[in-house]
Amino acid sequence: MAHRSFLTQRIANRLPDWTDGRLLPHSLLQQWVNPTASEIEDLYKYLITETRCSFLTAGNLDTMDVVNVIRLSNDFVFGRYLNHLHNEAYVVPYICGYINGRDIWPTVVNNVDDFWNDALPTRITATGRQRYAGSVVDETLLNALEAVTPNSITHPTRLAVIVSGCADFTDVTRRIPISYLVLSGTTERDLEETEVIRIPYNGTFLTNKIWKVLDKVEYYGLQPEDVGTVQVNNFAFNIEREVDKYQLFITPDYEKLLYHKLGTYTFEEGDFSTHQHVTMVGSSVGELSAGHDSLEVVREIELLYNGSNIQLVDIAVQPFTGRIFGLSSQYLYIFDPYTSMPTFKNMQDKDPGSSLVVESDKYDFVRGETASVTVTWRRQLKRILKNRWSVCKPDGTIIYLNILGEEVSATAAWQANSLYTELAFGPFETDDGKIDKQVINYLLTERGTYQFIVETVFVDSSTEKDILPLHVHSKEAVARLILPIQLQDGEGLAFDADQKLWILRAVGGSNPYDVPSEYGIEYDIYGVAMEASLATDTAMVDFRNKIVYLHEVYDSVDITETDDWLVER
Amino acid sequence: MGRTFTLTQTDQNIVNAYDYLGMLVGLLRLPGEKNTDYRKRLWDVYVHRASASQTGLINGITRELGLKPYNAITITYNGPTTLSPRVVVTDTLVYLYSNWTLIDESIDANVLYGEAIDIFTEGGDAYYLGGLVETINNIDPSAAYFIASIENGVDEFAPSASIFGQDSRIWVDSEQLKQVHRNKLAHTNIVPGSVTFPPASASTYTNHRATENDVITDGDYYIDYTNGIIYSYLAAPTNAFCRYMYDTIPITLQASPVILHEFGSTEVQDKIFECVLQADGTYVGALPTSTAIDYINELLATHKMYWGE
Repeated sequence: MAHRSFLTQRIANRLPDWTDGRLLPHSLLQQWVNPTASEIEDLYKYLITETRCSFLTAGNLDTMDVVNVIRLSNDFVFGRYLNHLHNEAYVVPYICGYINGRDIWPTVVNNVDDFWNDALPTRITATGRQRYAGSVVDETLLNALEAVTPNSITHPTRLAVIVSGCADFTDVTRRIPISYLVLSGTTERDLEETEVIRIPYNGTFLTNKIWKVLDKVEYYGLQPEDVGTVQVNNFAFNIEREVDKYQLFITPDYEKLLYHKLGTYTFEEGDFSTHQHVTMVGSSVGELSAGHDSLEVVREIELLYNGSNIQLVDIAVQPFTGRIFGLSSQYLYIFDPYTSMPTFKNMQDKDPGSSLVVESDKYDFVRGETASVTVTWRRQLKRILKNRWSVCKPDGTIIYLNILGEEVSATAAWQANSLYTELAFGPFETDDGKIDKQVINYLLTERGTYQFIVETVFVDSSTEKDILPLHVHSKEAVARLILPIQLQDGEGLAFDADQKLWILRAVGGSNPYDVPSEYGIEYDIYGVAMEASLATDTAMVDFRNKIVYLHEVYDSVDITETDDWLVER
Repeated sequence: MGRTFTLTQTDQNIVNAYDYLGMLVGLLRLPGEKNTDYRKRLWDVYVHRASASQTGLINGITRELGLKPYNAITITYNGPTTLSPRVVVTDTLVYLYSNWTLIDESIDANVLYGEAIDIFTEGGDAYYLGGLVETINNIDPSAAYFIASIENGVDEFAPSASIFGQDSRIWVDSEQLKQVHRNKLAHTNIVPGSVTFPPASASTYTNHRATENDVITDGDYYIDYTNGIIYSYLAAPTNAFCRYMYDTIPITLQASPVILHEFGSTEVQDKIFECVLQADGTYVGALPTSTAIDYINELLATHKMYWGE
């Protein structure tokens, strides 16, 4: 799976207007530029993360803070072996952690990135902390908002503000050209503060501040007051996740503001979950006041585990890593944030200046969608004798198609130009003599890259070939964790301001759970959020100083000497 | 397979960006402290300021130790609305006043509800928080002017002396008034008679009227004490200020895991020294009481020092 950088298109945009590299997001040029763009993006993100760490509220809490150390005794012996360079090297000892009656075998790694920064979680446990997950402000009409006293916030975190039913998002005072809500109260730092949230459309918005007590919510510019409603929720479950909340990577003026969203798609075997990239903004924030009120799916990616479809109930984006966490009734899945990329095998057969050009207005597909591919005769200097459609499926088999998109033999697929002697447009001529495009509709049933090929033979016996790759997206989970019984059958997933994971256990879950009576709120009615703790079982061994570093704390750790493979036996 | 060793881990701090921020504010990471907890303490530096006052010392010491002051008990007033109650906690005593007035000359003294409650003496009824709550509720069960309750999750056997000095009435020394006819103060439940204006704005606030409707001429003003609003016939002049006291009953008393007492306070001296009658008829604190001896032994146990030299 490759990573498509947001910088790729920006670099391509430096080319002249008319180039394919600029116009086609999947052009060869962009494919070539992409690795460079990815490198620059990594540096850019690293720089931003480092900058953010100099601010107390914005820094990453998941940086290395405390490691657990075991000092081995002086007489501890490491086995040796011959490595691939035929040098003597030490064998890592057997390390087994023992916690809560379970044996855990940490993965021994060689560097800090694998040990901490890039390491995937390997276990999930319930911490036992649970919080009321209902609303701080129940769904309230705008004109009744003034009289509302917000409920207590049970866990200081970013709140989810849900606006619905509004038709006008323009503030008449024009101080901020679009309407906004003002929250006031006490933040986690025990300071009395206010926060302005711009509301450009009906939807869910996360606060930037971490609220501890909410005193009031005021609105400016939202209309109509007797229809529009506002609701504020304790945790942000089941909402669209912004890809780039702070607009650090994606500028709103040039590129689409994207959200991550959980989608459902139905094909053959039934429903499965997809990861959707969703856009709201056309070109600039100002255009939103014209009344956008729905999200548009830009790209949809089928989610897989071991090659099979999965069904999720909610996704959450892990802060800083951008990893997508997906929740099902029994498992927690972890995905990379990247989209899958088409393969460009056989593309060397494409003629760069081909007269007949294969095009599509869409390049990203999910299984079960029908691709509508057209061919246009771009340079009418040579007379066409015949042309032929074929498609190379993801597994490499080539199928020949007639003009109706039906599978035919290789010879039967040729479409002759009966009017070639007159330099007419042949297959591209309609009944009334106008030039038309050839359109092939083809059902995409497999995951991977389809290549649509048009071969052309001219009257002078020269040939041309144009190839268009179209990609059916899918991605595999990089990890799957089994949920402990207390966290099963959840209905929502969210990260709080401390980067801790919370799972919503709603009414009527099949597993009983203890409900504390604190806050005097009926958990049974509104559901309860349960905190989950992610553990990463990794270890590093310092052979020279005889020290073992562990990521996690265990009740006790067994370390066993390994055999020496250099000793003759 | 060689030998197997069963070992335990020790934690080792790794310096990261938060430690640099901590150095800037002079608050170092505790051994084994995670980023999440450390960040909370770093935030606290600018919110609960450390200083040389009792509150400042409690803020500073608890933060350094990774502890936190917490809400211990809540005292509500349930007596006649005509009275003006006040709750004061000092070093060793809790005072409950059923009426505390500033200017009403008809009451010659502030009226104490029951007696001052000793929260310091070990073995006393109110030595523990649970006992303090009971003591308050038992002062006069039939009248029940003050009702105390312990907060959720608070240990009822925590010493009552962990409640530090607090007052249900808080002075605001200087609050700026806007140049309008209706000034909303930052606080509500203003104590009647406590609002004063500096001479510069005396002409605007000369005659205090009984209702808002009586404000009809220059110099008239009316204060809505409950909502904290000052109405005046003239708009407040430039740079006008006022000083006032507001009431916070029902009050939630805060307790600190670190107990601090002022050694110079006579209240504390009374408790830790036995008073000896001098030849001239005055008393002087001389011999340590059993409580003080406990403290002295505790100090000697941790540090070699000589007492009384």
